[in-house]
Amino acid sequence: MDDLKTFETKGWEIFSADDMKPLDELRAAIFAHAKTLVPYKGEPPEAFFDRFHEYGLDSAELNRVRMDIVGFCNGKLRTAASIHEAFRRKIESLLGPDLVAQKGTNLVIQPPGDKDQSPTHRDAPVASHFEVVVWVPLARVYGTKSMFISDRERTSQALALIQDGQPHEAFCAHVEKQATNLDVKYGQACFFAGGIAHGCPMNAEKETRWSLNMRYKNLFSPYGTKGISDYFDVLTLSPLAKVGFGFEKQEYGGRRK
Amino acid sequence: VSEPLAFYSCLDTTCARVAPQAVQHLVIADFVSKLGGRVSFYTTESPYSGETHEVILGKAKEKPKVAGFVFYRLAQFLSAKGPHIAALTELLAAGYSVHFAVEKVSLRAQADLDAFFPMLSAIAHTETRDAGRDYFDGLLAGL
Repeated sequence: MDDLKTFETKGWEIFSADDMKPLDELRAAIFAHAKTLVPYKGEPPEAFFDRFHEYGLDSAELNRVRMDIVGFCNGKLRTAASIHEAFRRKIESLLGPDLVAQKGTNLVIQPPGDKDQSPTHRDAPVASHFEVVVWVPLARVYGTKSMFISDRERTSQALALIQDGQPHEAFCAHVEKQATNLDVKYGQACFFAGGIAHGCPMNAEKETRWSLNMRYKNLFSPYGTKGISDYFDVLTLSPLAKVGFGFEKQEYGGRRK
Repeated sequence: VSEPLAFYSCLDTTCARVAPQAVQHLVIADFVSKLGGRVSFYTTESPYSGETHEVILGKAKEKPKVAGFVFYRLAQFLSAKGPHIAALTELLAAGYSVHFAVEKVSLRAQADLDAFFPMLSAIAHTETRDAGRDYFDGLLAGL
């Protein structure tokens, strides 16, 4: 854990937050909003998230709640900035200081037995190979309450199957056979490269999973098929980039500041 | 009940094969409705004015009673020479807001353009560079 070398070897790693305060504030805000959407019974945050299925929402109601919270995160919170502040050193070790972050917040609420799961897939090359996904559980995840992830070698082997003409099912089966179900505590995040195969099993545990996922990349690194500015916002700039952009703006015909 | 804000829209004719005008109208109309407005008129640049923005700058000089101009996408202000900052600056200086529907980006003042410039410039750099991919062959050789 917490090893950039492991990230390079496997394509993913679990990192602990450098600073819990932004993460705690983010989770507290999500909790405060979420409990207004159900007949709240007074549980503390961890129990509220873990036992959310006890509120008995059907799939349409659950999605309405999820979308309401996503709207709240996008409109009222600085989700990408808060996660960046919590994991700043690790994110910048991978990507440098000139960062863009996903505009919208992705929130997954996966109650036990929910059949709407994310299938085995790779984010890249549809997304860029040069963006990192930061997967942040809001309460501890383990077993099938979690997501499963492959590593570089196994993903590469599965990709070779498709390149050899085998069907997508063979790719999925190869990944799922030896994938790891992540055990991630609140306060940690799984970082993974876009090309790494991953997915979610049916949650067969007795607790609901709440997780955020957020994508970061270097402003100047290659993009995938997503438009740059319809998916990302600039998050941080190095002093050098600020100087460079200052001159460029003038050279392109803009006004001096 | 107050009248909704009026906007001029400007379609992108260079991508009409993948995003036909009818689709661009829908995307722009949806975006404008979220601004609390409506499109009162639409236009396009000609094949010869895409980099100079003569059509839309000419419209701005007529001082139309609209809140701003809504373009289909940012790429309308990018070319191999870089982002078309002068044209954006001129529209803002004339008192109009400038919007891009695909990216859901709104520029309401020069300060917004200053803040957005790094993204705009990075797009100009990376789209030009990545289109050829030659730079990537050089990177691979170094691995």
